[in-house]
Amino acid sequence: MSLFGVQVSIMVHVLFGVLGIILAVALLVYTLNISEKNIPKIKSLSLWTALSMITSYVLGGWWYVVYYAHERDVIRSGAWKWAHTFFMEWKEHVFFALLFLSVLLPVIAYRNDLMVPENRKLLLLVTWLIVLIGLAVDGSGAVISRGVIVGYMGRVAP
Amino acid sequence: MTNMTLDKTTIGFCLSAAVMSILNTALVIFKELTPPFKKAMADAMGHHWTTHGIVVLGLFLVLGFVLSGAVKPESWGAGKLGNTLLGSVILGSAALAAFYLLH
Repeated sequence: MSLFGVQVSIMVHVLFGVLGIILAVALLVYTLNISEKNIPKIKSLSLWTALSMITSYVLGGWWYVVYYAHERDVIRSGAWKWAHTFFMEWKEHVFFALLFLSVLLPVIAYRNDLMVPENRKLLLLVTWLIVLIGLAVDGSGAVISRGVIVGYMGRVAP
Repeated sequence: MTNMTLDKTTIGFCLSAAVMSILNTALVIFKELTPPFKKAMADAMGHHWTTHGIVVLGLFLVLGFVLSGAVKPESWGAGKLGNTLLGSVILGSAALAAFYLLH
């Protein structure tokens, strides 16, 4: 793949991750303002949140396995080694918890009576966890990107 | 008519997510502390992370369907299920962070 394609693919991975977080926030808003009229929107948002997170995982996973090794070496050679040794290592594995939770969303939304407050609280809890873990993962990605830049800075201006 | 109990699939997959959040972290710690095992995971599918993903996601789905058939809905209210899930996700994520901070 061209350099342009490689860079675009990682940006699309981030795009779907951020989209998933935004959709989850919208889901929180609709669930907190529950009504019979809002239930179809809640079901739809739960599904699109899950699909967005799964797409982000597939794209990011492919990029990580195929292209990350070079960037990892650049990060490790720089002053921000921990951008890989902590942030990337944590991010690449905690993403699985995010995926489990994302798959749960439509299961909860489609298969239960959301007018029951306890059921609704379970949906809110899972959505909150997705938003918070999603933001933490997104922030980790930003640190990793800066780690690459810091690594290159060390190479051109020792 | 209002259905107060959660459906069995929801309970099964919530419990599976709770169990797998912990097992995911346990697998990370084990593979990082056992280089031959990590290498075997890498050899199996080209990258240890690919194998890790297939294993945990596969187990999540299998465990979800198995538990969906085995649970009694009256034993798992939404509150109890939510607390179980919250505890395991926090524990799994925090243990993962602590491990990589110290490793």
